[in-house]
Amino acid sequence: MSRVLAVALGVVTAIGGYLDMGEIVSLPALGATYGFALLWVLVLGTVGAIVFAEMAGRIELASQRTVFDLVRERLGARVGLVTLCAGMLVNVLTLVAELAGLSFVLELVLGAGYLWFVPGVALAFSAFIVFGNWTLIENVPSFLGLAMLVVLFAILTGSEFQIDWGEVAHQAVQPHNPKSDHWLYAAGVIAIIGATMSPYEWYFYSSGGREEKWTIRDKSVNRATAFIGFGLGAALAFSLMIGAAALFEARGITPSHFGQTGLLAVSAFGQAGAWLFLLGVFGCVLGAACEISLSSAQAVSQFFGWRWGASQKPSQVPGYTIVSVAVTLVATLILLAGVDPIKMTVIALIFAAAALPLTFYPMLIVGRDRIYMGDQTNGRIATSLGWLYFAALTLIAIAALPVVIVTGGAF
Amino acid sequence: MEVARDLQDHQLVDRDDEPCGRVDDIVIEWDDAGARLGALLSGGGIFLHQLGLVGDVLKRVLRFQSAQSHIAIDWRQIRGFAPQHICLLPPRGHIGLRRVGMLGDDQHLLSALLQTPVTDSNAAQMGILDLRTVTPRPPTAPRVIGVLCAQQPRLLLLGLKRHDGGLLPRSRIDGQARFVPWEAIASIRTDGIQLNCSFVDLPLLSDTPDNDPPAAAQEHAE
Repeated sequence: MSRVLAVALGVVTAIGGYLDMGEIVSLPALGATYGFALLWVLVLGTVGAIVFAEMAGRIELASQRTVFDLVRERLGARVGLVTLCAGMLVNVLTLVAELAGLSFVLELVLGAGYLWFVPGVALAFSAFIVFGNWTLIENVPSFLGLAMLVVLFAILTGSEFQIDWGEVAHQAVQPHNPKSDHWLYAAGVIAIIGATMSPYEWYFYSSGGREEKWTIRDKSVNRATAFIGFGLGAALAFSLMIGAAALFEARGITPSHFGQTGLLAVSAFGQAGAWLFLLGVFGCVLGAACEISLSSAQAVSQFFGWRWGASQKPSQVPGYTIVSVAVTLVATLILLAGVDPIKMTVIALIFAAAALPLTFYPMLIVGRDRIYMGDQTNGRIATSLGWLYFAALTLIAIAALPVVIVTGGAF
Repeated sequence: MEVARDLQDHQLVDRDDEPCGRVDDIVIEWDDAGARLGALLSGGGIFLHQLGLVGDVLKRVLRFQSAQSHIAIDWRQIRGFAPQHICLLPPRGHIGLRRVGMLGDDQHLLSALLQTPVTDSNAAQMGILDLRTVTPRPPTAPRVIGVLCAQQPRLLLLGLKRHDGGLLPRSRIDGQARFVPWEAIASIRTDGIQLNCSFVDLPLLSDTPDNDPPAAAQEHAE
């Protein structure tokens, strides 16, 4: 029975914790601009996220090593440090967007400018991750994030949404660019990949396996969380893009603030929809911020072999605690310096896509190594898909910087 | 045991199985009787030492003690090997810090040795993939039995530390890499290792018995 509960909890937290600020900002904007034409990228990103989440979890439970244990053991100190620095840079940029997202929610609720809320949000958030235990940090934001299901129910039941599901299915497997600017289209593709496959997700997922003391007997929990949880969580991402395409594209609206994305819920459920949307955004963004901050601390601790763990007292894990707070502090200072958080989100998404190959390389190598994996090595499908994604992500990583320069971080 | 593969960068845990750092480098010692592994080194000072110029700059900037010092773990302080970590005998608090010091003429750091070119009696050159020892049985320091050499080892390893699980097929590496017994080494200097024979007279890696990682070897022995 406890295993069934663990599976159910894993699935629910994966659904509620799937979205982050990058997806909440980029998917509606891209849906409003390109209609359903970028759905195929979301399909690719979702399949990739599931493949690598399952692999990261399986490697952890078979070899008792997290992603950054592998990075250090297989890449060594020098190349491993490059991977660590790239991951940390992306994490800080992404955390800027998440802290801005939490402040935006308070701005919409309370009315003052979002920057006024940033110091308080950063302080409360730091206290939550330093003094909260693993169960609290993992589950509370995810359950709040379930309120985002309101968008999915809105597009399924709302009379405002006249969705041609045949067209949706067709465009989900048919890549094409309906606009003339190929650079902006490429930026959109990279942003969606970066949003659905952010590196912190795998750092956090494999470390979560260790926090929950996964063993080989937890294979079913890992598979259910990766396949069902991530799969259903992706339904929220699809609903944001499809809803925006149906509601905004026809009216020529491009949402420039996630508050406008809330119209998806408001159009179907009125004020109740707005409150549920805000609650859902708050939960999703808080969950993502926790994952980013803690995954940074986990990555550094694992790389240097320090003690770590969200349920440990801060005095027992000083290095881990210092890194989690330091990352939050740096992100807060960047935000207070006056950078545009939406532009920062887009740039973070593109650099996230660039950092992915360094994360996946050791996972793919170890995933087929019997010394580490025993009889849990990658099968043919996982191996083929893994290397295919690795090749595609390497190309994206090479293309990311020129695309940012040409488009100036827009899409 | 292959030292870079099975020991370097691996997790250290103390008497209570609590993480207490990683193996950042290893001292290699030799005398007329042969070579053996010396202390396992762990800590900020020795980690930064591996990063070359960047590490030197960071050492000057980061002035706190942990960036300048390391711990040296003697083989008598090692309890055993598990697949995912190396178990130590003392508790965390009893593993003392040391300042990074100079090594003797008959000592080398593994990280430096792996960068050292190997020249044979015909002046042909190879690089080092790894160092092979007998299966370690603490508290005795394992004896080094030879060096695994290949042309362009960085290209073969493709950024990885292990020659037996990278992108290239293992048969390709084993078919061109050579096993150099320690007895074939005539001299070791900081700028190069000189052999007293030719590479072509030495066995291919594919013809030398493979070594299990220490934990697997312990399991087989039991």
